[in-house]
Amino acid sequence: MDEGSGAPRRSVLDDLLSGDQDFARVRQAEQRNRRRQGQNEIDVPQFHGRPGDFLDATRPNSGTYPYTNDNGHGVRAGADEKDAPYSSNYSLLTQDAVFQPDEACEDIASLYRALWNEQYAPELLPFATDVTHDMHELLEYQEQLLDDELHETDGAGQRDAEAVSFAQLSRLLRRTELERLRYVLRAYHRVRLRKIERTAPFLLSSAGAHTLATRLSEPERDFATSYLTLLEQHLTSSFLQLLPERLRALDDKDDTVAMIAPPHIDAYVFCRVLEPPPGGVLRLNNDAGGREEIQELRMSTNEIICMRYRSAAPLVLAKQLQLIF
Amino acid sequence: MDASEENEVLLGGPAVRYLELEHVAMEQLVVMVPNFSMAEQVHLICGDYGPFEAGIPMQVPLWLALSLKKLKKCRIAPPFWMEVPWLARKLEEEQREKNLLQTMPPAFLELSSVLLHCAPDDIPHLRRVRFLLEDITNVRANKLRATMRRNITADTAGAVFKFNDLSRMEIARIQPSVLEILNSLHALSSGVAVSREQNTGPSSSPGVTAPAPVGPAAASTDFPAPRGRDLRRFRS
Repeated sequence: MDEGSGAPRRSVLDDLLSGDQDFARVRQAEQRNRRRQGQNEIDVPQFHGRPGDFLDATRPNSGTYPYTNDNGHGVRAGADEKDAPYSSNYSLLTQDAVFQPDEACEDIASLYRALWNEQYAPELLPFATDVTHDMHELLEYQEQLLDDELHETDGAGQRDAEAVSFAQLSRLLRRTELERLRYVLRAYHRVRLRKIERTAPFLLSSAGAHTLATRLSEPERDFATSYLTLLEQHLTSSFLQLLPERLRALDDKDDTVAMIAPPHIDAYVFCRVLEPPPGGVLRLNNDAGGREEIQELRMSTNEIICMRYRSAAPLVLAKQLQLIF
Repeated sequence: MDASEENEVLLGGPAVRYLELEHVAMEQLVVMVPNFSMAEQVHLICGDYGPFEAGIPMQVPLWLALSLKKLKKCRIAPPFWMEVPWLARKLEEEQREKNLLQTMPPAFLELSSVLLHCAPDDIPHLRRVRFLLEDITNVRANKLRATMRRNITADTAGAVFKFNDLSRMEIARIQPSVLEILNSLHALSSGVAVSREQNTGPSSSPGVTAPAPVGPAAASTDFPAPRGRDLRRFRS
């Protein structure tokens, strides 16, 4: 099956390039090819394990993946460029081919990964400086280009109608993408801000000092500090000043419930294995019942595992695990 | 504040989560056939697309195909797994195997619901596809529920579970209830074990479960009733 799926699809491509450009006929050819493959008429698409989606960082670049062609390239790889007279974009007519991220795409994928990790981790993760910085720059650059073009077309006046409509279409598409990515970037910042608000007392206590210093960006640190100051001022002015002195503290630990709660790192999370640890075995420290107990968990790429965050955390930080829905 | 509440606060509830899944799924590449020609390339952040030639299929992200579709500038070719024979065979396999989930594309629920909603005229045998997708979803949900009920018990508190063969949307659906159950089971069992140790000595603590063929199981009787907007339904 592995070998088989590459070949017939290429011949679909051949049909396509030899002038068979009618869509219906292409589809018929595809079905013909599938039939030719064997008794199993519709056996072409086989998923091996979990096929990675485009967010999959550790997708194998060659060979084994069912949707890559013989060169080991995904759809958008440039290898077939000279063979395809029109565009490299359909160099393989596979429907769910692997998204082979080039550099900018890699930025997008890592932004999504950062967002998901942040959303589902019970503690604050290190700020993704590079990812957000690059994305900010890309977005700003694109925005700048769009603005410039807008003025250009305003000034140009007389241009033929076709060119104008192309320009409009191109602008529309780029604007759409810009807004989509901006949403993701904002979602990332929003989730972090919400987390910081929630854990501000912890972050600014002595226990959270390390997290504060290493995992927050400069503006986030300012935000945390001023947020907590505001919160304290508000609580004091609204009712704390009316209470007796001994009840005014906001960081009481003596009570049955500590007022400053550390993050809930024993919570369960869903994660997908991007890169199995050496040997494919993770040693888990399963301390259920208050006793230390070492256990071994076998994991292979693309498995989805529900485990406690405490055990997953180091791997998440090393980008070997991806937290998911 | 316990973990599940915390999640709710951070993530904005299931409706938002489903929307976000759709947003991500829109990055998936699909094949579309433009009905216009455009010699220039569009320089997007995710890559350069074009030139566009009327009638020539090309691979673009779904969001791009959809914006062209809205302008009536292209047809979208439904992916192979939205063809009737493929779906019919999957449904059959799904029904035959009582204990194993079939592997589906990771985003098949999101993609198919978006395509059925936004490009219904491009999908051949639309009604049949809708029915098959709905049936497959239901069969899978039933199986998943049954296995979860079997596998997640008080004995498995603190264990690790594998949820292979589930698509993203299915995980998103079961996630809140599963996490809540596992978290509270773990909390309870640590408490129980501690008190038992004080009384009678160490308890046998649960281990890592053998990789369950399907995902295991909530003790909850049902999926949580969808609050807010769920997926667009297949049968509109």
